[in-house]
Amino acid sequence: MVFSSNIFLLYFMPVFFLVYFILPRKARNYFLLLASLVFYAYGAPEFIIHLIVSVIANFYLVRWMNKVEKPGLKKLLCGISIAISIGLLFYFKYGNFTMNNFNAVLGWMGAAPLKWTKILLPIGISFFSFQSVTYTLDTYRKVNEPMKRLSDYMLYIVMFPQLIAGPIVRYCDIADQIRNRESLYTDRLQGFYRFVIGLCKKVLIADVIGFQVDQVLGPSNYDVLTSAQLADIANKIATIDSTTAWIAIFAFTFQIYFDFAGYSDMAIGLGRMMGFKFPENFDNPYVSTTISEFWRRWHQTFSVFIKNYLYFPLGGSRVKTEARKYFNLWFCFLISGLWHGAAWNFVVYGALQGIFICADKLFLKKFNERLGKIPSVFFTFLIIVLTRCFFRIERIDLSWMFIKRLFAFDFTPFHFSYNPHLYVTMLVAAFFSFFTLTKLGLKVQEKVYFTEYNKRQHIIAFVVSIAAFVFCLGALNASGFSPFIYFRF
Amino acid sequence: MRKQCKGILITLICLTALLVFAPLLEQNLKLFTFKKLVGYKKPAPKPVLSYDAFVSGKFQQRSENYLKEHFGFREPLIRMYNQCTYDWFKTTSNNEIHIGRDGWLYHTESALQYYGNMESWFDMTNSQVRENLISKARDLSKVNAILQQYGVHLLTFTLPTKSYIYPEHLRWQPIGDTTFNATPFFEQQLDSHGVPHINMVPWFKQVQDTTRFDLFYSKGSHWAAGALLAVDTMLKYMEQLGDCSLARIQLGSPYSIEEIPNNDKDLENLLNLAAPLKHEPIFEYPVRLLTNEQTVYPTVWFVGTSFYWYMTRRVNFDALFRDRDFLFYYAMFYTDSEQKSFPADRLDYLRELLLHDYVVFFRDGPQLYNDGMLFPGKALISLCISDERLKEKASAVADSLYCAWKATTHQDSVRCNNQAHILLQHHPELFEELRGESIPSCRNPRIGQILVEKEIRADRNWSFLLKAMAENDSLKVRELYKMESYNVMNHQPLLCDKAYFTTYDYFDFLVDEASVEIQRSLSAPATEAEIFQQVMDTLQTKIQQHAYDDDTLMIMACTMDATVVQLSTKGNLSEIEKKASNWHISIDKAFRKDALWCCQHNKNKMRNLNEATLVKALDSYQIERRLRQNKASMESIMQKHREMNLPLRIIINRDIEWIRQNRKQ
Repeated sequence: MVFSSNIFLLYFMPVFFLVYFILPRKARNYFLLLASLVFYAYGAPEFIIHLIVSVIANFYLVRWMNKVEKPGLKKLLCGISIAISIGLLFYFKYGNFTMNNFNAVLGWMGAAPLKWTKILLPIGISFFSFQSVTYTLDTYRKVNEPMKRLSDYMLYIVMFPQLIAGPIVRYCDIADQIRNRESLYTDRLQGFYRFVIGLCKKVLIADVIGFQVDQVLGPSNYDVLTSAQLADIANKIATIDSTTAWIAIFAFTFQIYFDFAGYSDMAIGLGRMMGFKFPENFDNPYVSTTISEFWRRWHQTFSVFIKNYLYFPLGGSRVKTEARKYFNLWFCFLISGLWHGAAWNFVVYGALQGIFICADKLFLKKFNERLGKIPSVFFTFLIIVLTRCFFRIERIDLSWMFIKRLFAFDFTPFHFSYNPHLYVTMLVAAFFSFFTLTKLGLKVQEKVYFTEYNKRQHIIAFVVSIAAFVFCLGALNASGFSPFIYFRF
Repeated sequence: MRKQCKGILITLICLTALLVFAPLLEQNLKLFTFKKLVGYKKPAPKPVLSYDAFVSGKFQQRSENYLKEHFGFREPLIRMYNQCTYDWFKTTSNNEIHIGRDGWLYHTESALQYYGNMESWFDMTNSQVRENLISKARDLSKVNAILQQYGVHLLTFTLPTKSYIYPEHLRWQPIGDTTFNATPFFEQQLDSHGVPHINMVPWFKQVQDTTRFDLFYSKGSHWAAGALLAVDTMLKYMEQLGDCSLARIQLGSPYSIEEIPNNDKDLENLLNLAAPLKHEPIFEYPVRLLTNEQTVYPTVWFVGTSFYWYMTRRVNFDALFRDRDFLFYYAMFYTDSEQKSFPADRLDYLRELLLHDYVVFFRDGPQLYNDGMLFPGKALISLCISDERLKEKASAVADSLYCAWKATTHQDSVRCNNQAHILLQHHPELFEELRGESIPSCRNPRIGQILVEKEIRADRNWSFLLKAMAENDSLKVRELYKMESYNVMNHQPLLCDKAYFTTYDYFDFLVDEASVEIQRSLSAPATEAEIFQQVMDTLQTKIQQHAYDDDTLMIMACTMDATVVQLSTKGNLSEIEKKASNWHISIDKAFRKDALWCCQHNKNKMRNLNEATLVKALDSYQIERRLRQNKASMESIMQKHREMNLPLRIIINRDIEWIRQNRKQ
């Protein structure tokens, strides 16, 4: 179940919150857990057992780990717990990728390929696996005590607002809130406003832009395509004019931000309605003046996870050689690229990001500083846009072909010759991506997101939110309603 | 202050909850009624919860699809969103519609086709696409040649769609000249293959430049006044093909209609907006049909699209053609005057092709590439290939498809067989005997029987007897024609020998005869009594001509007799004349229509009566007529009516009863 679906917006959410607030406080966590399991089972029924078993195993392993005194055994149990989480992630997410490549290598060597049944990817596995890891490591590092109740731990892992697409909530950030939290009236309302902001980002911006991007670049997942469809996309990309290509890739850059940030806003909003304070996930990433800054602002909870649980264990910047330091940085980004998807294009994407981060440390940052704020924002944004080609187009040869078309300077009449809905939406997206470059923009954002509203602000926000919610419902359902006047026989 | 703020927050939370719950409540309680959304969309099936369906995710998918169509406030929400995007961006969620400039709307497909910018399968640079069109033109030329051998004329035209006639209101700019349109290419091919066709586009363009009225309505996909132009052009070409004189249409002065009919703004309706668009008045022309003694009324089979309805709405095809049938989108077949219809898969193409005097095949531009072009292949196969050979070939093709598909996907033989038939219709050249440029020499052996059927249909009396039989035995007249032609071919006893009149057909027959007399009396000054006498004489003769031994039939005949008399009053006749002029039909037809209605009405009233009652009713009726004709009797009745202060009807009934009783004694 996704947040921007009828089943969630019109059935699950209203019923859930009605029951949740009617129930006594003590019963709320149990109900939230039950609803979260239903939420997950509805979207991925075949994986619910995997999820529950891995959560139970991890819970008891960590408790055992916490009790033992011997450092060796403690380390071993910690390793087993992490291996379960990461192992499942690796098996489900990278099993197909690994085997395909392994068989390709066998093929080059003239050997027969190994038999392998394709595995389906359980939704949200990248997120709840990482949360399990934070729990294990935070307990191991004695940052927090392990949870006493299985239900509490299970709730931490499967809580529906952040189960599917984050934010990745570290155990230490939320440990106290699971048992002790307060949902004030203002939280309930401001949570709803935040949820609606996220819904608008997703439905009114990302989906509108995404539809047009798909028209040009084909669907984002090439696995579902037949070879003929793939050939058609390749043909389209090979002959695309530069204007269309630029608009498409700019559009995708906005689409991915508003899609992901929208989802995070919805998750944060839902959490706040229940009294949870989830960490922020995006901080206006496109106003960054350097690539390093961009990664501090983009998918922050993931960046924090990589920093704390991969970069620091590798030695971070406190290593003997400069080369090692840059390798650590590059490697972290390579892994983060691979985390986004099990395909070579994501590896290239991660590697490129790593290279730009290293270049940042070496010279790019200084160069940007000399450029000044606005040009450096533009320059950084351009790098992000270009690297996004590898993110969006799943085949590296096609990504490269697309980049070549970007710089072919072929400005023939283009695909989006007249599409005011797309242009206006892109303008709106650009405005909201960059408006915090001004002090006023920052102030407005601060007021809308982070300050407590007074009576007047509540009334205004309420009216706007309800109107936006209704409008989103219309958009969500109108987009699937394109009827014919006659049967097409 | 804090308390007041808390109260407001609680109110807002309650309001939020109420609004978020509103769709769920509305879905279950149905508190409001909303205007339904317009357009066809395959409805999502209701999800059924089962373990397998849930685990496989099908239940969830179906639930989402189903709820999308059934949640509360769906209609106003979609209309509201569409209205906003229409007002702000001139787009809506309906990709089928292209929103042009100045409030003009187009079908996206036709707009794309105009600019030669269809999907890849429409790409005219593709040699396969061009070859496909050439082969269609070749098939049509063969069909035309064969039909000519049997005295049937084939006429084809491409509908001049709105994008071609009014490109200036399209929103887009041309994409480039790397592709080109199929329509001119296909027209060229028809020319080079000698297929009779009309290119209406230049003619429409020329008229559009000189007239101040739009040939197409800005908010609809079909033609407005353009339909008249098309009919006129079509009739002229048909005359030329058949070397005969058809009825012609004459247009009066245009008049405007403020209230736009729903069908004319079909594209606007499909936008599903919250508020109606601003409309300019639509102009219509009154149409008069011009006929003379040489005018012939052929039978025509139309094969095409909904544009047909827009022609028949403006011009009375009943008065132009003796019989006309319509095959709509290869899906539904509408028999004469659209009174009956049945799915096209039951249609016998060969019969339809040969039984009509003309076959008119039309389609719009985009249909050149899809199922709109099934006709040439289907027609050619039905004319040249026997049913057995078709079955045998389809089976062979199905086998090869099955073998080819079996390896990749799960296929069943039924589906393969259907696919084989479709494939053969698209590619009749799969039959060796239909290949090449020359006209195939083979013929469907059923042709002989169908030509006999055509003869039967042309014979008025024979046809009448079969129709009567069909009516009486509740059979389909089409089937009877078929059986009779079979009987002729096989030297079997004929159905018409066994046919007898039903009261209904008898009445038809009587009216036919009587109306000639009535028409004569209308052309010369006559008194009401004279008209009545003429009608009565005719009826009397006809009744005497047929010996009735069945009382009920007699009663019915007399009831009809009474109906005719009723209708033959001068007042009624002038009404009928007025109707005939309004409907552009002959007085004879108008009279017939009214009389049939009366007859049917009387028949229905009498259906529940037993025979004795009917006899009594007839008797009473005849007495009353005599009473009314007798001046002295009527004066006496009127006197009683005044004296006793009773309704006239009661007095008359009493008198009738008294006469009946006394007569018996």
